[in-house]
This record gives sequence, structure tokens and C-alpha cells, in this order.
Amino acid sequence: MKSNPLISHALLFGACLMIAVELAVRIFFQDNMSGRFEYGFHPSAGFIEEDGQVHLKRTGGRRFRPQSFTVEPPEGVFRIFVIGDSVTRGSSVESSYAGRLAVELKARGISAESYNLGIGGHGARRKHLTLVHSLNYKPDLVVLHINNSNEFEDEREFLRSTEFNSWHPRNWPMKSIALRRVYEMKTEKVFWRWIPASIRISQSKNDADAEIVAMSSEGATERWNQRVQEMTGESTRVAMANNIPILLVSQAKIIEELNGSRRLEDNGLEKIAEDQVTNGAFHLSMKQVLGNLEFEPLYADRSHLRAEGHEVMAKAIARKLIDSGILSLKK
Amino acid sequence: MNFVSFQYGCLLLAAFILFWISPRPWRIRLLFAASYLFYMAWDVRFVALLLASSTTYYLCGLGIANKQKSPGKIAALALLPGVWLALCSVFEIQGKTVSSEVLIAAFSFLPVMLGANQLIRKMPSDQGRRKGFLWLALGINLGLLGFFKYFNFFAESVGGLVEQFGLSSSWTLTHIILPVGISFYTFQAISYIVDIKKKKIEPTDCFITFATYLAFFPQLIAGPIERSTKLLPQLIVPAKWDINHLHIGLRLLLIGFFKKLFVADNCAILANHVFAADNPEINTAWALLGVLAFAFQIYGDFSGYSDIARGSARLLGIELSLNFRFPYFALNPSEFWRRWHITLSTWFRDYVYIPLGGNQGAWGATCRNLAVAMVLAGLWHGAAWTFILWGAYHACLLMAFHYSPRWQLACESGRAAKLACWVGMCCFTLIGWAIFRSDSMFQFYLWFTGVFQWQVTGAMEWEKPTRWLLLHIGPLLLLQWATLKERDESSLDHHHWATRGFIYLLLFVFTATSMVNDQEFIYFQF
Repeated sequence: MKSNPLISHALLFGACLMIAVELAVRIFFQDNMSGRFEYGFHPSAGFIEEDGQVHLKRTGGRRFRPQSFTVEPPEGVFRIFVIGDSVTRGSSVESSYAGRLAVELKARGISAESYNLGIGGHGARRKHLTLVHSLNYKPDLVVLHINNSNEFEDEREFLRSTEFNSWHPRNWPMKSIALRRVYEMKTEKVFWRWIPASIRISQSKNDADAEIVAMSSEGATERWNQRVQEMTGESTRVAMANNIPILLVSQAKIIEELNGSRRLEDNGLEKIAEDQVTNGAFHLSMKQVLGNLEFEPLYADRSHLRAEGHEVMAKAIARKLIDSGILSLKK
Repeated sequence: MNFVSFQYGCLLLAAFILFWISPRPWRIRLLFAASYLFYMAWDVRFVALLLASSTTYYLCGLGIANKQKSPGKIAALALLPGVWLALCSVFEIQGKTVSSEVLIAAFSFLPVMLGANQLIRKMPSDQGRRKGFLWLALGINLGLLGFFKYFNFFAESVGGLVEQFGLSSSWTLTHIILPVGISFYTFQAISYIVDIKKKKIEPTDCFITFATYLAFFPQLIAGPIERSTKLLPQLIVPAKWDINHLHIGLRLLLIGFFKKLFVADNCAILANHVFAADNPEINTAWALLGVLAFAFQIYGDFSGYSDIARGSARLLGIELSLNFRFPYFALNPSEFWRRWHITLSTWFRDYVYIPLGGNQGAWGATCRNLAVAMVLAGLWHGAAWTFILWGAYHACLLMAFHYSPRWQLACESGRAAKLACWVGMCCFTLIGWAIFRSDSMFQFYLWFTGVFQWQVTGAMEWEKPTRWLLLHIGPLLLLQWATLKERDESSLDHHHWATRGFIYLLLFVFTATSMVNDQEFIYFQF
């Protein structure tokens, strides 16, 4: 009787195929690897340094909008980093208030460059990590957009990165970039699109729905604000320790009253920001900027701004920077 | 200890390595230890129940064959359940408590066994003694099964009936936890004792071997329900090492996990919605989508479990019975039951239907035999009226097929007739699954009325969920198409090794990217 080898040809072939795909993904999509399994908690993911330039890239670790700047800031130009979440990120760099800020300052005779470091889903913890690394590139000002709607996701991703880097074998398959990509595509492009939200929520089978469930739990806002307060304080301390002024922009979202009328609500973020204001730390309230205007056309949904909204914010920030003398603190 | 868990992986790996490096006489002890460890992981207290069943059947089996043990040995074995529960109580293993009533009941097993043994031994005829031991074993174990699985159901039903007549039922129901696997190992033990009575097999003299036969961990919780004629010889004489054990075992495990994690768990999302307790608004499309999803969920879940069980056993050199053979390709109910849960349907055929007379009697007798066997098969799945209705429904289908020459002829005719039979059988099967899946008769009524409601206000769009279902049953159907002429989906040897390797890779990718769901195996509740 013919004896079979320990590992059959079929198994060997399947394994080689899998390894080949994995290697190809790792070689040809190398940038995508940056902080891939740190879930945004990698200190430098997305900041790719090359020939004296820093490229902000959309990587597995941080999904920046692609932008580039020199490692050393140019002489006589104010460098501003705007750090935030999907609200900051906007629909493009140019239309976001982060991108428009330099234009508004130039229009006021101030030479400046501003970069959009907003990443969808990032909460206070991950924004803080982005801020800490961005200080290596010597900004003259950091604008930190504070919000409390991503704290659940931040916490979940933190636990996930911790667990993912543990030894447990259930994490092993997902350490493969190729498998991870298939899984993410299936979740985002198929599961979320093909299965109605009410079914997903009733069975709480995925992240987005778990977040909706968590948001409705009692005391969620208070818990999340506590985290935002702690981390914003930490971010402010770090910036000031590096002698870099920081402007805190507090988020405002639209709330619909029972009678159908709509108003802007800051969810306690204004107080958190105000508590941090000292010499070198400033606050600008989105609620105050937009609340005096016809705000509904400025919003794309209850939280995110349209290009017009971003323009209003960019102008308000530029005014704030000039009026409060923030820019003169540095140069 | 769920099959889809790290703990099970560790247990299987350790059992695999230790089994093959151990001297042959030690292997049965190793399997015994692994099996009891596996069962302890569910609830340590229920090991007492398993010990009680093992002891009863072991001693009664020897009694039937006139090889009774001495009273001392009987007492030692009959003390095991009580001693085990006492240990659990003293050391509070798993933090579980054992009430004094349960302890008394467990220790009363000793006088019951000794007394019954003495009484039966005193019987004058050999035939009488044989019957006595048979009924002692059946009485104790069917009594345990009846108490744990059906007591509350019948008490509730009788209570409801009494209240219909304006009287009040005064008894209070206690919360009885159903021990996992009890239906499976009880049936496996019954086949052992009946086969001894029929002199098909000789009872085993080794308690460890018999206890392992009853508790063999890959098939303890949800089958396949093995016959002693097949499993016992493999336990008594362990197989020799062959690399094919590893290859076939791993292949079965891969296919089993694919069916469970990729097919069943993803189909469950839709089925759970349609058959949810809060009675969602469902129209025709959703009613059909839900029952189709459930059909593939239960197939993926149970046949996946069976494949994992077979694969695990095969790694230890033991071949378990095939439980599913492309059931949804059946053309008639008779064929369906030859392809679906084969070990249970053959059990009911051999130990209920044929002893009742099978189809040898008159028309009425055959119908009665079919009805009894199928209603019991329904009831075996759980204590609920929907399961009884499901059994009765399948009995009706079997009778209709049995007494319909045109249907029988059509199944043997040309392609068009076969296609019609297949479509018809699919519809019948789906109606059956709707009954099976419904938590109550009212829910089945809601589903049934939903089938005829084209437009329902509030019903969700169904096109995209249909795509989801097709995405998850498509690969399974392709696998079945590739193996349709073979024994089951794991029979891939006729394909070129490169094709096989590609199939393995795809199955692995599908499975690995579906591991986020955490659904329990359906048949664990039976």
C-alpha cells in the first residue's frame, strides 16, 4: 500500500497559496501595514518620513487624508496641525476647515500652512496619540477638535489592540493582512449594506450596532465626557510642555426637540474645553460660532458639516487666532 | 466546552498526541479521562447522571448475558454518582451547589440497584431475568430522561388542561436544567442493551470501556448516535497509526467548521429575525427567506457539528457513522430520512418502527407504526408541541409517500418528474422546518399567514438580505455539487490535489473571516 506523506500535496498547495497571497499583500501594500493591528494606537502609524518630507497616508493604522509637508517647518510660515475626527476630516482636505484655515489666514496677510489630521472614529485617546507624534514636526499651533461621540469606539479599539497583540490563538487568523482585509470588506461592504440595521442591532453582532446599543445605555455621555476631559487635559499639558499653543474646538451637534424644533447642543464639551483654558490654551465653541447663524444648512447630518459649515468654522478660527494673539505667542 | 472554542482545541490536541504516544492498553483510559473532562466542562454535577447511566447499562448488560457482578462490585459502582456529587458539594467545584435532596437521590441509587439486582436474580426463568434486567435499565434511564427533559412540559400541559375545565392546578414547577447530551447517550445506551438482549453483541466486561463508549467526547453532546456494534470494537482494539487518520480528520474538521461558522451562523441572522419572539412584520418574501435561511442554518449547524465530531474521532483512529448525506437533494420523505440525521432515523427504524411491526401489517397498522415512530422522533428533539407537530407532519408525509404509487413512480421516472418531486419535497421540508423553528404554535401560525401576505406595512426590504443568504449558501452548494456522487462533502479524493488545495484554502478563508459570530450549536439543546 502506498504511504502518504505527513503533509498532503493538497494541504501544502493550499498553504503555499495562502502564504503567497499574504506575502504579495505585505510586499505590494507595504504602507498599508503601518500600525495595521494597533487600531490607531500605534504612535507613528500614517506618518511616513521620506527624503526630508513627511507623508500623511491612509494606512491600516491611521487613515489620514493624503498630505505632505517638510520635516522641518519652512521659515516664516505658521505650521498648524488640526487634529480631530470625522467632523474635522470633512469630505476633502480642501473643503475642510483644517484645509481652509491656511487660505483664510493668507487672506488676512499671515503666511501659514495647515494640515488636516482628522481621522474618522478617533476619540480622545487616539487624538492624543496623533497629537503627541505630530509635535515632532514642530507645529506653531495645534487645533484639537474635541468630541465625545467616538469614545465607545476608542475604548473598543483599545481593548481590541490589546487583545489582538495577546498570544490567544483566536487572534491568529486575523494576523494575516489578506484575511483581515477580506473580513473587513465583508463586514463593511456586505454585512452593513445588505443586512437591515434593525436586524443587526437586535442581534448585536457587529461593532457599529454595539455602539448604537452602548450609546443608549444610561450614563454613557457622562462616562465618555469623563474620558474626554482626562485626555484633553493630557493633550493640553503635553502641547504646553512643548511650548506649543493649543486651540480646543468644542463640537456642537443638532438636537431635535419633541416639538420638532432644532437646536445646537454641546453635550458638556464647552465646559471641558473652558476648564483647560490657560495662557497658551484657548477655546472656540462651535455652538457659539454656528448657533447665531442659520445652522441647519451648514450641517450635512446632525454632527458633520457641509463645505459651507467648514468655511464658517475656518473663518471663525482665523479670527480667533488673530484676535486672541495666539499666533504671536509663537512667532 | 463548545467545539468552537480554544479549550476544545487544546483538549483535542492533547488527546491526539497522548493517544498515539501512549501504550495501547492505556488509550482507552485516556479516552475515558478526556471524555469525562469534556463533559465536566459543561456542568460538573451532570457527570453523576452519566455515571448512573453507565453503571445501570453496564450492570444490566452483564445481567442479561448472565454474567452478573458480585454485590460488592455492584455496590461500588452504584455508589459512584453519590460519591461524585458529594465531592462536588464538599469542594464546590465550578462553584456549583448540590442540594441535600439531590444527594439523597444519588445515594438511593445504591439500594435501588442492589435490591433490583437481587429481585431479578431470584426470577425462575432465564428469559424472565433477561427481561428484568432490560426493563430495569430502560426504566431507570428513560425515567431520568423523562424527568429532566419532559417533566415540566407535561406538567405545564396537564396544568393548562386542568385550568381549561375551571380547576386550578396546585403543583409548582421546579426549574430543571436539561443535562447536555442526555438524549443522545440515552439512545446510544438503549441500542447497546437491546442488542445484547437480541444477542447481536456480547456485553463488555470492562466498565471503563463501556463508560467511554457512552461518553466518547466527540459525539457525546449531539451524536452521531453510535451503535455498540460499530463503536465498541474500535474502543476495545484501538486502531494502528495511519497518516490517513490525520488527513481525513483535519479535512472533516475544516468542513465542519466551515458549515458551522460560515453557513449556519450567517444564515442564523436572517432566520432569527423571522422567528423572533417579538413577532416582526413579515411578508411572503421574508417568510420564505426566513425558513430557507433556517433550513441551511440547521443543516450547516448540525451536519457541521457531526463533521467536527467525525473529524475529532478520526484523529484518534475512530470512525464514526455518517449522519448526513445531501438531505436537500431528496426526492421524497422516505429518502429524506435516509439522508437526514441518519443515525437517529435508523435508530427509530430499528428500535421503534420495526419492533412495532414496521410495514408488514395492514394499512392501519403501518400508519400507526409510522405515526408512533415519527411523533416520538419529534418529541425526542424537545418538549414542545411544535416538535410533536413536526413529527406528526413528517409521519403524514411518509404515509402519503408510502401509499402513493404515482409519487413513488415519479421519483424513478424522467428528469422532469424527478425535478417536480424535488421541488415538492423542498417545499414540504421547508414547511416542516417552519414548524420546527417556531417557538410556539402561534408563531408558526404567524409565519404561515405571513407566507400569503404579499404586502405588509413595516416589512423590511428583502432583496439585499437575499443576497446575503445566497452568498453564504452558494459555497456550500458548490461544495455539494463537487461531491454529489460521493459519500459526503468531505469526499474530495477524486479531485486533483491542486483543486483540493484550492478548495481547502477557500474553505479556510470563508471560515476564518466568519469567526466573529458566537452562536451555540442548535442540537446541544436536544
